[in-house]
Amino acid sequence: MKERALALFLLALFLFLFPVSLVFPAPLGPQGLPPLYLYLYVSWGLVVLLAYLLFRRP
Amino acid sequence: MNPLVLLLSLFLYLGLLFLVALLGEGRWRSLAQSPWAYTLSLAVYATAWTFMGSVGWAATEGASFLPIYLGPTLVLLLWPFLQERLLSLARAHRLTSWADFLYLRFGHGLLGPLAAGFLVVGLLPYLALQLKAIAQAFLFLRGEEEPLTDIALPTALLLALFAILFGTRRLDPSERHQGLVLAVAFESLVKLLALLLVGGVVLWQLGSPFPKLQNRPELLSLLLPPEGLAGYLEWASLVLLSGLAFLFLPRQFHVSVVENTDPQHLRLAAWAFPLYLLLINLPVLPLALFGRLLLPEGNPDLYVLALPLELGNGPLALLAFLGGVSAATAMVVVESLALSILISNHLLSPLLLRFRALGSLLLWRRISILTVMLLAYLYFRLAGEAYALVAMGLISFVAVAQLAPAGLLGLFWKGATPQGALAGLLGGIAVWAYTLFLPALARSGWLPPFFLEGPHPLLRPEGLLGVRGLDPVTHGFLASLTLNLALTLGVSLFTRRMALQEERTGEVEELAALLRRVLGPEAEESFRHQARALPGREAAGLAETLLAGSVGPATAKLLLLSVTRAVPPEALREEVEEAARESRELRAYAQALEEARRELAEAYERLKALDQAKDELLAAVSHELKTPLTAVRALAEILEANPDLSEEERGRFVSLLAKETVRLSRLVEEILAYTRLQAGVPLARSPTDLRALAVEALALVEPLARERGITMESHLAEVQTLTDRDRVLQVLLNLLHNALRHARSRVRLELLANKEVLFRVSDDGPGVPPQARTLVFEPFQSFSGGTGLGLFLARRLVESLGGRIWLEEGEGATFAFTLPLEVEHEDSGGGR
Repeated sequence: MKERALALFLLALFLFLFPVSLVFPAPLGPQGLPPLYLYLYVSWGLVVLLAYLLFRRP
Repeated sequence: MNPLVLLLSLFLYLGLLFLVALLGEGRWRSLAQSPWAYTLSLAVYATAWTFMGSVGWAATEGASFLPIYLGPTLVLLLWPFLQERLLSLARAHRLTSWADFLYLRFGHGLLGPLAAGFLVVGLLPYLALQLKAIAQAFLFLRGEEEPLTDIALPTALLLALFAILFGTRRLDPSERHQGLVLAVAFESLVKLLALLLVGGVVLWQLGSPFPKLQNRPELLSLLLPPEGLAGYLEWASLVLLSGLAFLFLPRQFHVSVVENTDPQHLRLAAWAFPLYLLLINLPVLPLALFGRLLLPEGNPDLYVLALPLELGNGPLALLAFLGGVSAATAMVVVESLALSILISNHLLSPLLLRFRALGSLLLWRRISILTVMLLAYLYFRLAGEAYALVAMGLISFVAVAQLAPAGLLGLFWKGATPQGALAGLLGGIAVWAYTLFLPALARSGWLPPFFLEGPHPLLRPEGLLGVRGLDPVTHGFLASLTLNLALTLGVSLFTRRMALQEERTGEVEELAALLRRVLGPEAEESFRHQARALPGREAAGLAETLLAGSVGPATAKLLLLSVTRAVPPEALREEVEEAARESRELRAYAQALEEARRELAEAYERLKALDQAKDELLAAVSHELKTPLTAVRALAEILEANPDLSEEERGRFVSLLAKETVRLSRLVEEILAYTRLQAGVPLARSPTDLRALAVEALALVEPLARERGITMESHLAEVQTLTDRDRVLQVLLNLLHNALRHARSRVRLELLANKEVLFRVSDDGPGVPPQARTLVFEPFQSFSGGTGLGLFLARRLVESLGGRIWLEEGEGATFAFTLPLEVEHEDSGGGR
C-alpha cells in the first residue's frame, strides 16, 4: 500500500503544481466558468476519490 | 444587529460547546474516540483565517488562497510514511510535541527549550489573528468599528477559561482530552455547515457571480493563474509551506498524534479531511467575487458577515458569526493548550524542579495558558492592525516550518546530529525574525522603518541578496528554510553523533513513590500495575515515559536521577561478552585442533610402525616357516628316494619329521595368538585357581622336559583371582618353553601372592646376554632359534591382564610377571 500511496502523492503533486498559466491563460471558459478553478477543484476531487478508493479498507 | 442578541447567541453557543465537551468526557466518550471525531478534530487546521480570511484573500489576491489547503492534502496522502511512524514513536515515548521528539532524537538539552520558546513567539501572531477575527466580527455585527481591542480582551480570557477547564483538569501522562476533541470536532462541523450555508444562500439569491464580471474587467485578474516565475514560485512555496505547517503546528500535533486513540483512524482521515477542506473552500470564490461586486468599500475579511447582512438575512449573518467564532475558538483553545504543554515541559518544569516547586505543575500550566492568551492579545494590540488576517497567519506558518529540517531529517536520516539540528534551527529562526517578524513590527510602527530597509541594499529584509518581485512571505520562507536545511545537513555531515544516553535502573517502590509525588496516586497505581513483572531497567524506562508525558522528557530524566542508578550499556556489555565467548571458543577450538593434529601424527607413526612390524612379521614368519618346511621336504624326499633305508634310519628320519611338524605347529599357534591379540579379542575373565593352572602348565611341558632331561621344580601357593584363564596359561607355557629351551638341568616355577600375584620362571641356562636384555621382549628377537614371538606375546598378554613382566638379574634367566588379585577394568586389547 505504501507504493500506491506514494504514487498517489506524486500524482497529486503534479496536479497541484502543474503550471496552469500555460494551459488556462483566459479568466473565463466556455460555460462562463473560470477554467483555473475548475481544474483545481476537479483535480482535488479526483485525488480525494482516489484516496478514498485506496485507503477505505484496512 | 442587537448587541444583546449577539451576546446571548455567543454565550449560548459557548454553553453548547461546554456541554459537548462534558459529554465527550462522559457519556459520549466512544463517539469522541471514533475515527470521524478524529478526522473532524484535524479540521482545527481551518481557523478564522479559513472562515473569513480566505474570502478576504481571494477577493484581493485571487486563487493563491487555495495552496494553504492543497499542502495538507498532500501530507495526508503520505501518512503511511509520516504520521504512522510519528504515532508509533509518540505512543512508545509519550511524545506531546515536536520539541519532545527533537529532545528524544538528538538528546541536546537546548533543542527542546529553543523549539518551545520559538514556537510560542512564532505562534503569537496566529493566536492574535483569531482574537482579531472574533473581535472584528463582533464589532462589525454591532455596527461599530472601534475600539477593536476592547472586545478582544474578554474574548481571550473566555477562551483561556475554556482551555483551562477542558485541557488542564488533571495531570494525565497520556495528555488525552476526549471532551476537548469532541468539542473541536463539533466546531469543525459548525464552521463547515455555516460557510456552506452562507455560500449556498448567497448563490441561491444572487446567482452565479461570473457573468457579472464582464462589467468589472478589473476583477477578472482574480480568476487568472499566478503570473510568471515569481507567481509560480509563490504558489509552489505556499503548497510546501502549508504542508509543513500542517505537520508541525503544535495544535495539529496535539489533535493528530497526542489525541489519537487508534492509528487506523488515519485511513479515514487521509481522504475525509481533504474532502472537508475541499468542501469548506467551495463557497470562498463566489463570496469573494460578490463581496467585490456588491461591497467595493467593505473590509474583504468581513465579506462572510457583510453579504448576508447586505441580503437582509440577519440570522444567516449570526450563523456566519458563530461559524467564525467556532473556527477561532477551536484553534485558540487547542493551540494555547498545546503551547502551555510545550512551555511547562521544556521551559517551566526544569526551572520548577530547580526551585523544588514541581508539585504545583498543574497550576503553572493553567497560568501558561493564560499568559499565552494575554501575550497573543498584546501582540494583537502592538502589531495586529498592520496586516490582514492571512498575512499574520503566514508569518506563523513560516515560523513553524523551521522545525521541519530537524524533524524530518531526524525521522528518516540517521546521520542527522544534534549540532546540525541546533545550527539549522538557530539559522532558520534568525532569518525568519529578520525577514518576517521584525518587518511586521516595523509595519505596525512599533519598530523604526530601518527594519524594513536593512543596513545594505543586499541585506534588505524582504529582498535578501537583491531578490526582487517575490512576495515577502515567500521570500522569508524560502530564505529561512534554505539556510535552515543547509545548516542542518552541512553541520550534520561535519559533526559526530553524541553518545547514547546512559540507561538507568531502579527499584519499583522508589519509582512508584516518585510518580505519586509528581503525578498523583492514580499514576502510581497504574505504574505499579504495569511494572509488577518488569526488571529494574524497564521499570525505570516506564516511569520515565509516564513522567515525560506530563513534565517533559528533560525534567523526567532529571527526576529519575534521584531514584535510579546507571547501568552499563546493555548492547556494549553483550558485545563484550559475545566477543569474549567467541575468543574462548576460538582458543578451545584451536587447542582441540592441535590435539587432534598431534593424535593424528601419533596415529600415523603407530600405523607406520605397525606397517613396518607387519612387514617384519611377514618376513620373519616366512623365514621361520621356511626352515621346518625345508627340513620336512628334505626328509620326505630322502624317505621317498631311498626305499631301501634301514628301519633304524627310517625311524630317525620320521622322528625328525615329527619334530619339525611340531615346530611348525607351535609357530602357527604363536602367530595365531599374535593375530588374536592384535585383533583385540576381549578378555574372558572368570574366577581362576592359579595354583591349579600352574600345575596344568607344568604337566603340559613335562614330556618336553623329560625328553631333554631337565628337572622341573615348583613352589606354588594357593591363589584365586579373577582373570582370563587361557591367557595366563599361554604366558606360563611361553615362559616354560623358553626356559626349557635354554636350561641345562633345571627349571623352576614359583607362584607367590601378596598384594598381587607373582609368577617366576627361572632356569640354569647361560642367561640373556647383556646386549640383548633390552630387546628380549621385542618381537622376532630370537637368540636361540625360536620364533622370537614367545616373550613378546607373553608381555602383551600380561599387560592385557593388568600386570607387568620383567627379566630379573642373576644367574641363568629368571622371568617374572605379576597379575592383580582382582582384575576388573583392564584394557581388553592389551596393546600399548
